[in-house]
Amino acid sequence: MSPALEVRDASFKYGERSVLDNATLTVGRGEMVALLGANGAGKTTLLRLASGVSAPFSGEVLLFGRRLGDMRRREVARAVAVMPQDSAIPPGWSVEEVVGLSRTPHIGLLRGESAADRRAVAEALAVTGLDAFVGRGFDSLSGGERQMALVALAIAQETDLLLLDEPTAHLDLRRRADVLDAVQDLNERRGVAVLAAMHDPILAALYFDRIVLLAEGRVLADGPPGETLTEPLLEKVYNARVRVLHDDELGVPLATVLPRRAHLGTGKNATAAGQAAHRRRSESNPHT
Amino acid sequence: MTASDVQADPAGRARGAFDARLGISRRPRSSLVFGGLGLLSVASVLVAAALGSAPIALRDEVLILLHTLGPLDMARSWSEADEAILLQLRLPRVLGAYLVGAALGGAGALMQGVFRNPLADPYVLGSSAGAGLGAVVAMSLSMRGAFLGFGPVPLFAFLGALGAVLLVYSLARVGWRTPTTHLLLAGVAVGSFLGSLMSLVILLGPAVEARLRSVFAWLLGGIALSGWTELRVLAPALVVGLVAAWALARPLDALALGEAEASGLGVPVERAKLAVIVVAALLTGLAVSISGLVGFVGLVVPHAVRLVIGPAHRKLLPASALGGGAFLVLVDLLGRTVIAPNEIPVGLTTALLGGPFFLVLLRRRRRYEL
Repeated sequence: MSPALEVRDASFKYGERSVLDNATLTVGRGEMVALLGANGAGKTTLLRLASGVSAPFSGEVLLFGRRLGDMRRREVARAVAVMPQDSAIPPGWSVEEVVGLSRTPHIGLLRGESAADRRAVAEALAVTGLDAFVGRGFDSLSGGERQMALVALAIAQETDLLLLDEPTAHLDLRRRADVLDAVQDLNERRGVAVLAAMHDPILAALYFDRIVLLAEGRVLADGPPGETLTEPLLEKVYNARVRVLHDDELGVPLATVLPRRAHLGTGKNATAAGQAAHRRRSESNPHT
Repeated sequence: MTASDVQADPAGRARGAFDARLGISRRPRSSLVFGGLGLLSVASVLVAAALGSAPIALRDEVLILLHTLGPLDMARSWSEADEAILLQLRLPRVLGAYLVGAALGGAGALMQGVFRNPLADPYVLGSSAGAGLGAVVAMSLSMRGAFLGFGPVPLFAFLGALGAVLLVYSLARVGWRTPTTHLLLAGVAVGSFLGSLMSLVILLGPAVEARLRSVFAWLLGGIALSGWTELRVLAPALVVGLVAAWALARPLDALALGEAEASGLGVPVERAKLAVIVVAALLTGLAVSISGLVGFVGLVVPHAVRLVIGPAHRKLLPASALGGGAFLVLVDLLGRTVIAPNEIPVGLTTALLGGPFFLVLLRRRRRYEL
């Protein structure tokens, strides 16, 4: 069976500036893949190519085995859903109306909504815990609730591939988990394949099967979190000091960036955690 | 005050605040709104056709209409003068006003939807200046002749409106895209350019002195029809235009999310934008051809309707058309009766009445941000 998404040797330029350079990437059916890279590494561009919003200068994109360039816009929209960024939706739209926009590719121009459309919207609202917000104005929601509503919108589109561009941006810790839990739930229940551009390597490790590292428009590494979230690779990707920790219970590498002046475990410039560890060590061994 | 009152009160207040803040769940049922707008439309047409310098009794009016429309062959209990006034003068004018208002209401909703801009109105892409230039040229050249029952002034106004919008669209195009900011800016530029050309023609054109009054009257707007002739073409054309507008409702809804997002929902964005602009330009051009420059209807009516029925275009577009029609009929009625036998141009009355009316609506619903 052909994979959900294949990007083959895709290149893209904005004017003279090359943003993607022969990038190749596959997302299998039912797979959850995270895209990591510095700002400007080409994550958003890659997602735009995958959803057909932009076309590659060279190379090709296949959705479920079909060339995206040969598909009609409506067919693309029935195959792949893109979670919108928090877009400036004009006031007056209710939560369920916004989520209902997801059904656009399924409804004929002069047709009304079918029972299937209403069921898809109701289900997406229930999965994201937004059923309590029915009848409320979209612009009256908090940032986190809006983000959930946009996840619901992508869910209700009922596609087999879901593209997310930094779905947890601007959210508090709890909301980040809420959004990714809803996505994971969708992945497990309906086998929806997911490709998400992520900034947080810890969440990427916790939720995704595979990590693709992008640097300057090229795929630097592609594999399970244990192989890709390593200090040398991440330092290369972000051009920063990175520390990877291991938690035996979680079983995935937890990566974080380090302060430029951090002297691990010692001195006043150490991280708070490092200082605490240092203190504990000196207390247990007063002779050093 | 008992303890339970204290407890109940904040909850009650909180709920009140909840409602005022959110409003949306208190939208009336749409069947109620459309029923009301339909009734208002019929009633406004009947009343406006009955009233005027020679009023006709409502009973006679209904009988005349039944007699003319229906298979019933009734004994004449009304004067022939009443019948002639109603059928040859008032009804065409009132229905003309209704169609103009409906077209402008629909076109305004289309433009506000495609630009996602509350200041957009049917004239935002220069159609008013184009129509004005066309009309003034036709007047100052004292043209004669007719096409499909339309004289030179309506014809040139229609062509001017359409031409201006197509010019704006082609100027705003960048490669295969037409960004909405380019469209709006090109609309402003072309609008003021054509407006200046129009002023030049008024100032320097032949036979200006004699025509200044009719030029001015046209620019202020007023329903000008010769009986049923123009309506035979206009009515079906406007109905087709409004149905076409309705078919664009879902793409317009999706565009509320943004253009890239609409594209992700399967909407061919550039084609949809062009279709919306062309349909709106046709509706506007047809309207101004018989009404001159009637302002404000296309700006205010969609906003007022949106406050009541919400922003989804499948409801907003037809409701704006019905509301715009009824509104213009009533405004035109006022304009021709309050200082009879003189008439206030309908374009003036729309702004005189519509402005305050809209401000009241706006202040009652502070939550609604334009």
